[in-house]
Amino acid sequence: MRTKLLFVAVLILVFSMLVSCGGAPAAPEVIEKTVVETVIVEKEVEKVVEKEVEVEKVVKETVVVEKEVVVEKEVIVEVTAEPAQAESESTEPQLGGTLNMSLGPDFITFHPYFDVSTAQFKPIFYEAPIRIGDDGDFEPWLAESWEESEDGLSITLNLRQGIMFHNGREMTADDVIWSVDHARNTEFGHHLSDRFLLATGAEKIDDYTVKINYSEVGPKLDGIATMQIFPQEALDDIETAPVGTGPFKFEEWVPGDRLVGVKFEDYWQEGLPYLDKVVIKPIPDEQSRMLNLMAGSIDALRGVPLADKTLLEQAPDITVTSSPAGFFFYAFIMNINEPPFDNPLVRQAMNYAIDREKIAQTAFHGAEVPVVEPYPETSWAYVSEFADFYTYDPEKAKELLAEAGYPDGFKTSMLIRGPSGPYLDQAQVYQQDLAAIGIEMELLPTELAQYFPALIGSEFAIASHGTGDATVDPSGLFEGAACCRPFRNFFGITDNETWFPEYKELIAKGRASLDREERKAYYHDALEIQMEQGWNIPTAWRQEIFAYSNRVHNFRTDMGGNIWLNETWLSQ
Amino acid sequence: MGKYAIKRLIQIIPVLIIVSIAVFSIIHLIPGDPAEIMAGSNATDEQVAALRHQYGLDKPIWSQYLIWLENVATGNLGYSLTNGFPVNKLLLQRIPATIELAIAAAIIGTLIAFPLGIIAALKPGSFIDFFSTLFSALSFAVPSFWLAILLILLFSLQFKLLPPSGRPDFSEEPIEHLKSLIMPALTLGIAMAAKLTRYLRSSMLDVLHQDYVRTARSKGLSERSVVVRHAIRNALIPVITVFGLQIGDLLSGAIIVESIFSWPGVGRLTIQAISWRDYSILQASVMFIVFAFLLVNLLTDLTYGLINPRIRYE
Repeated sequence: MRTKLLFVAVLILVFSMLVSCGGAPAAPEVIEKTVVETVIVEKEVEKVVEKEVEVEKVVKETVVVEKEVVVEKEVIVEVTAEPAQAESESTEPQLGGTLNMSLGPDFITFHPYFDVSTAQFKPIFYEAPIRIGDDGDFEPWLAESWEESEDGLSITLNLRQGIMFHNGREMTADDVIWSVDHARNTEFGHHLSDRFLLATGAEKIDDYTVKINYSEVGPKLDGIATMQIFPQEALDDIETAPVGTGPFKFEEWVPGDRLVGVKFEDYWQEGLPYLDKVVIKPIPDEQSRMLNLMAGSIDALRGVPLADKTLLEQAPDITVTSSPAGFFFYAFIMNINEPPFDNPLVRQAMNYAIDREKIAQTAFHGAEVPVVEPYPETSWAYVSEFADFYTYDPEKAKELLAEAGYPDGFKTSMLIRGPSGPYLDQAQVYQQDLAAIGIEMELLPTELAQYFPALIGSEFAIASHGTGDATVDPSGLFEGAACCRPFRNFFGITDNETWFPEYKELIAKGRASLDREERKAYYHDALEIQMEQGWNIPTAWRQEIFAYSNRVHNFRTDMGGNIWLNETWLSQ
Repeated sequence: MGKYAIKRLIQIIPVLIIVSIAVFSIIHLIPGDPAEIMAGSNATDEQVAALRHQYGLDKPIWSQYLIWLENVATGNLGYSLTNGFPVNKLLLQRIPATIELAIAAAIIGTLIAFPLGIIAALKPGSFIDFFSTLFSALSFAVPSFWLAILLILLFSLQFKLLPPSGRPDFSEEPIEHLKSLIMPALTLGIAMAAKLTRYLRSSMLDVLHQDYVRTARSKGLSERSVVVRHAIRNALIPVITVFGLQIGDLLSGAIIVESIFSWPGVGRLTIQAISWRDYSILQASVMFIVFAFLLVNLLTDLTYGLINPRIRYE
């Protein structure tokens, strides 16, 4: 019996040691060494010496024990310098090395016109004529400049010369013309065609100048910034073998195992990229992805779980970063055909009942920024007075409900995007907020394959959704997620709403104007109507969270969460 | 026995056809289709329709099935709906990984379970018996995702001995390949050992109290001979049934373990195919799983005959 007890005790000890091994690595590494052993002296001595050096702290302590035996113990505490600081000092890019990273699940397709969950790889292989800069505005890329015609019906791109495709052919105006035609083509159901609905085609001015024509005035640059140029001859295999002008050339894709890109020697940016190779490994499990980074088997990852962001931030040799806010936001959206959300007072009450700060702190673990007005401050359409259009005010929400004829609240159910994750988490917090004003809300977590048909078919009363239309131009907000194009209007808004014709007209005017100040005024008024009507409740910006080892430098992500490795380098 | 095996193999064909119809119907009945998922929430009806046409989903379901069957008869399992990758190639990449992991896990499971279960039964109430019970209870209780994470923390982060994920090519990096196999195989092997140990122990205990064991002992046979020749062989029948079922489970894909260790097996492929409703991959991988189960079942049945000569198949 005693043996058994002893055995159990040992087992528990081993078990707890195993578990303790799993803790997050502490900030600086502390190494303790016992150096001096036992010395016998004649009488009691007490002496403490302390000495500090830059990276080494020596503590000598004397402990008196029985029988006048003094054990002198010297503990050397070596505090290793934080690598982050040490490495940030060396800013000279180093050539070579392989960057191992994970974007999460495996790739679905490499066709650049599909925006599927792992589309963030695109700038590694593909590039567009222009790109979105860090300031949230467009900047030249494959095209060194562009001019919009005075009538706003065409845009001329001046392409750089000597840009090579990975297949060894030079990119010219013909490739851009073909890309525009491919982007306009709606026959293969890709995502870019929306942005080229008004494009009528492109014409060649000369080998490096191309003019894209449109049937109506409207925003053009968001489309051009997402139109990755790839050679027509690569189309047949483009879904499994990307070919573009990007800094890395496709080497192999082993589904489920790795995607490999090697340095493109003929890349148009002189001296770039610095890296020799990029290996992207699918690691679908979030925890495992983090452990891979901590163990050093990958150097960077996308998709840090919100709850673990702080943990990773505390790790000494890892940097955590978010893509700039402004493209996507978490939201609750209402179907205004479904009672009681057909009543604007109820919708406003729903807006006042939400405690965004609590959602940000609990559901998003402080990792996302609350938002009321769905524009980032970097947008020219941002209206500062709307930033606190709705504040958390349950009393006001109750009053509005009473005024709407629901003094005791009501019962409803919420469609949730995905069976688990942040959309469910934010809904759970909101559920409590609503319970406080008498609204009983059932949550319906729904797998994506069933969620989208339900959403598109307006088969919901209220949904926990992610929205924003990934455009720099403010029109995207209105024409995409918020309303107006008939095919995306899952909010059930029709001309029967008295305010809707005016709202649509403001948006149409905003689109058709070439004067930015004038456009700003139209969008201001449209946004005001949208906020008053309150069918779309933004909660927080949805940013892609990345983490990378401090060996990695110049790791750039844009507003869309895309990864740019042109200037990325590794400390060797 | 040979004739019996061939007969059983031939029987597998109609079973597979019936199963294929069932699987085809079920996966097309699940709400949501690949065109809608691929097109996303911003899609127009035209975009979705274009994708449906491209995927051949606008044809009647029986016609889609016949096209699939015709392709399969010529050895072509079709192409991924979402990226056009040949399903044959995809499965051929994944199956070896799955089989390798299943075999490694089975070896680990057997190596742990046999000595532990047999000795525990031979010495009931002993320290080993206590240990085997504790081991089984703990391994049953510990979920595989937790054990997997714990192993990564220990062997990858703490001791830096094993890679936390991936499966390098055996031809290029044989050592790294074997190292990457250890943790997933151990995770699955321990779970398997837990079950096998319990079955083996109780089956052995049962057999050891049978008359023929007493007779063997009274004949003056050595204990070793009694255990090895008389007891174990008879105790193995129920154990082999469990073993067969577990191998079937492993071949159908250890989805969680494959995800955590990023092991490119059939399980992960199936999950991805489900979430994207990639019917061609899903159909092929489910058919593989069914086939693997049937084959393992047949092998299990044949093994009965080898272990116990009284079992004869006509």
